Amino acid sequence: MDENFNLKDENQIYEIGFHILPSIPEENLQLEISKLEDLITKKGGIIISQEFPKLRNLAYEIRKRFEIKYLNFNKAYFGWIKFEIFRGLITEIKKEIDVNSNILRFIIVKTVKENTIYTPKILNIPKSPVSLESQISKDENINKESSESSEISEEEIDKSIDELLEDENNKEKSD
Amino acid sequence: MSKQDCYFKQNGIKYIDYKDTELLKKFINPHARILSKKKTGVSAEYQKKLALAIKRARFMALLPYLSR
Repeated sequence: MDENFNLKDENQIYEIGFHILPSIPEENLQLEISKLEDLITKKGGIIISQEFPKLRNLAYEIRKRFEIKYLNFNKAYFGWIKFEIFRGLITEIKKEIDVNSNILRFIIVKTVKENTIYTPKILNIPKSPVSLESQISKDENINKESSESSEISEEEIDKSIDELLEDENNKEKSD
Repeated sequence: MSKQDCYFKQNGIKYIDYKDTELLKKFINPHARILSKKKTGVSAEYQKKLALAIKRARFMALLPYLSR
């Protein structure tokens, strides 16, 4: 129990991901965002990074109750805010967002300060003699700087793309 | 075969983000089920994190619970 109490005194980085109702006009989105920002900064949180909501299709229909009737949504504005705050205060933020009827659904996760979206540099490279050779050369260059290895990977991608294109061309010719 | 098969260790990914759906899609099958550790080759440590991230993405409707 003491440990839990001590943990509450520390800061933690959280992220709120949220869907804003698609029925809200785009010019009012900023208002919704500033509401969330105010909520966080009022509690002493520091906003680290955020992404402005964008309209996107949902993977499935989300149902939300409005007083007596239910409505289904298959689109929503998805955005997120990353911030740092005392661990004990996050439940208060959650309660306030729960009340906000303009938010279709939200999630609060513990995260890290660094950028967590990973955009792969190395695509699915087919297992061809070319890529194997370059892998070996990569192993040899292990002590060199990482920037060089990324260059190699780009070359690999180019080569593999060229090969694929050639293959397709050959197929077309044979057809 | 290489020594390390884990996708996340190879690429130096420490934190798996639920918003990174393009990455997560590699680890689900056409029915949108999570692929097993056996199939993905991901280490136990990261398979747990991966599963959590996929489940978060499902809750937020970024990935489907089921398809087809």
